[in-house]
Amino acid sequence: MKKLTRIICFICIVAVLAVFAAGCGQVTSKGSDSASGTSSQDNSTAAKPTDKPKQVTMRFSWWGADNRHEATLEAIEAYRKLNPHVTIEGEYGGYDGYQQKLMTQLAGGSAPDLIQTDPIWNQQLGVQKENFVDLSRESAIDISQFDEGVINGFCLVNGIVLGLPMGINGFGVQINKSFMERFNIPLDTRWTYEKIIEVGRKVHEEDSECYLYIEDLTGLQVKFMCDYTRAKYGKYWIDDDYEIHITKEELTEQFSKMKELFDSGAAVPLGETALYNNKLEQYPKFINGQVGMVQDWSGLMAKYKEVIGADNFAVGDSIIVENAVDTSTTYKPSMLLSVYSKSKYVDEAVKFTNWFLNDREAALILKDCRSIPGSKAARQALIENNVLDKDVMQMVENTLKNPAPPVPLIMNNSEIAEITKDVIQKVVFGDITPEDGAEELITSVSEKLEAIKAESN
Amino acid sequence: MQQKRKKENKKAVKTALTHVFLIFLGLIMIYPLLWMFFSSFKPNNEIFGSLGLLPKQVIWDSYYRGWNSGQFTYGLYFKNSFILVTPVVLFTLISSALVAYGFARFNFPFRKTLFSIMISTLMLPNAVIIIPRYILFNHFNWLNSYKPFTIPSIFACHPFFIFMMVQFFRGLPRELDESATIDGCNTFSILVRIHTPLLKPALFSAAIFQFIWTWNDFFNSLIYINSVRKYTISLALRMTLDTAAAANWNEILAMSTLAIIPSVLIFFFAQNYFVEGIATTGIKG
Repeated sequence: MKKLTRIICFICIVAVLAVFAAGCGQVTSKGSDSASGTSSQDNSTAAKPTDKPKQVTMRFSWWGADNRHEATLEAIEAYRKLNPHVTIEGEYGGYDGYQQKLMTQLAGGSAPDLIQTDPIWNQQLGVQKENFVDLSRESAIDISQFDEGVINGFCLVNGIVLGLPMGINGFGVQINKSFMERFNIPLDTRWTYEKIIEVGRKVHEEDSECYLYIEDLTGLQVKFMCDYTRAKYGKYWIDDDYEIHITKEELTEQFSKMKELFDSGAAVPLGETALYNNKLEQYPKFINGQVGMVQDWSGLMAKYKEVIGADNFAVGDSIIVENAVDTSTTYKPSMLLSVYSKSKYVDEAVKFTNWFLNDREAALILKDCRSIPGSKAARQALIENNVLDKDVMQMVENTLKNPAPPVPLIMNNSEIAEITKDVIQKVVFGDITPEDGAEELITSVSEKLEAIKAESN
Repeated sequence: MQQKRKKENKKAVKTALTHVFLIFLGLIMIYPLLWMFFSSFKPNNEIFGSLGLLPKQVIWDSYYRGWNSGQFTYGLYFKNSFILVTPVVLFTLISSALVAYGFARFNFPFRKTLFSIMISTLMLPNAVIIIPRYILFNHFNWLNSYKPFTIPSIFACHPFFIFMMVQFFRGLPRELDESATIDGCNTFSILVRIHTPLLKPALFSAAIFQFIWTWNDFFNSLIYINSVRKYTISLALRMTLDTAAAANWNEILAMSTLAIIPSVLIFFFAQNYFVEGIATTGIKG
C-alpha cells in the first residue's frame, strides 16, 4: 500500500514538474517572440523614410472627465483621417491612481507612447529624465508657439523639456453673485486676506449659516505657504537651495492671520471641509449658496460654475494681502504632454504631439477641455471662432497681466507638503499657538530639507 | 397557569424588543445602499445638499444615460468583469483545494517550511510586491490582458484560501480517508469523492470571497489593464470621476447600483448551498 502511495506521489511530482517546464517553455518562447517582434519593428521604423509608412499603433494616456475623454477621442479620430497609418489607443480614466499607474509603468518599462503629466510631478519625473524625449530637440515640433517663460519655468527639468503645456491655468476667486448681492458686497473688490476677515466676520454675524470664503486643507497649504508669503514678503519660504528663507516672526504672523481667517467666521471651519478636500463643490453649504467664494484654478472652474449656476457666477483677481510687496498671480500650465523615450515610434509620437497642441483643427475639436490652450496658434483659432468660455478667458487674462514666477520645485515635494499640512491643522484647530507652530514647522522642515539635499547629492 | 402565561408574555415582549432592535440596526447597516439606490434618481445638488432618501425632483434617465455614456456601453464592462472573475474563481477553488489537500494529508520533506513560506506570503503587503510583480508580468508579456489574474490563480497564488481550506481539511476525520482506502479509493479519488462533498461549505465561502474581492478590486485592474476596451466595472466607474469637472453623480450611482447586483446575487444564491453544506456534513470531527 505504502509503495503504491509513493509511486502515485512520484507520478504527481513528475506531472507537476512537467507542467512547470511546459509553462516556462511557453513563457520563454513568448518572450523571444516579443523580442523578435520589437527588433523587426525597429528595423521598419529605421527604414521608414524611404518606403510607404507602416501601420503604427500608439498608446496615449490621460486623465479627465467625460468631456475631455470625448474631445480627445474625437481629436484622435480626426488625426487618423489625416494619417491613416496611425492608430492611437486612448488609455483614460479619472485622476485617482493615474500617477501610481504611471510610476509603475515607467519602472516596468511599459509606459504609453504619449503621456499626459501634471507639472507638480516634474521633480519626480525629472529624476528619471531618460524616460522622456527632450521635446526642444525635436524639429517636428513648433516650440515657438509656446511662451518661453512657461517652457523655462514649468517644462524644463534637469536640462530637458520634459513635456509641452496642453493648457494654461489662471488663478483667482470664483464668486457666487447672489450671495454678494445679498450682503451688499461689490463684485469687483480686490480681495486681501485682511478684507476677507473684516467683511466675512460681518457676514457670519448677520447669518451664522453663511460664510464668505471656503478653503480646504490642501488649498490652505498652497495659498498660505506660497501665495501669502510671496505677496507679503516678496519671496518663497523654501527654495531649491534646500534652505528656509522665512523667519520665525514672519511665519508666526502668517499663521496668526490664517487662524484669524477661521476664528472670525469668515471661512468655513476647517473641520467641516475635511471631508471635501479637493471637492469643495460638493460641500452642502456651497451647493445651497451659503458660501460666497472660493479661490481656485481656472481649469477647475467648470465644476464650481455648474454648482453655482452660469448666470450667477463671476470671477475676480486672486487674493493678496494689504500693502502687498508682490501683487502677481500664481499660474501654471494645466498639464503637460510628454513623449516616452522608449516608445517604438518616437517620431510618430512627436508628430502627433505637434498636431495635437498646435494645429487649428485639433484646437477646434479640443476647445478648452484642458483649459485655455498653451499654444498661441491653438489659442488664436479658438478666439477667432469664439468658442472659449468668457469667465475662463477672463481669469487667464487677469492672471497673465502679472504672472508670478514659477514656484521652486521643492515646494511641490509631497513630504514637505504633508509636514506643513500637519502643522497648519494644529494651528487652525488651536492645539498649538501660531508661534509654536512656526517653531515646529521650521525645525521639522529643515531636517527634511537636509535629508532631501543629502539624497539629491 | 397564570404564572405560565405571564412567563410567555414576558418572552413575547422580549422577542419583540429584540426584533425591533435588530430591524433598526439592519436599517442603519443598509441605509448607505438604499441611499445609493435612491440617489441615482436625484440631481447633483440634491445628492450633496440633503440626507433624505426620496428625491424632490426625480431623474428617470440616469440608468439609460449612465449605461450609454462614453466610448463603450457598460454592457462591455460587465462582460469584461465576468470574463475576468469567472476563471479566477474557478481556478482558485480547484488549485487551492489541491494544495490544501497536500498540506493537510501528506507527509513530504520540508512540509512545515514550505507551509510557513506559504503563510509568510500572506503577510506581505500588496504594496511591496506590486512593482516586482508588474515587472515580471511585463516580461511575460501579460500586461493589458487578464492573465495576471487568471494564471496566478491556476497556481494557487492565494495563500488565504489555501490556509482556510487546510484548516477545514484538518477538521475532517482521517477515519474517512482510511475507510475510503479500504473501499478501494486512491488518494486522488479520496479528494474528489469523499472530501469535495464535505468541503462544500469551505469551497462556497472561498468562492464568495474570491468573487467579491476580484469583482471589486480596483488597484490591480488599474495597474495591469490599459485599454479602455478591456476595462472592468471598477475601472469604468472611476473613469469619469475627476477633480477637474463635476461628474453626473446620478449616472455613476446608477451604474454602481447595477455593479453590486452580481455580488449580492452570488452571496444570496451561494448562501443556500453554504447552509446546506454545513447541514449535510454528517460526521463531526
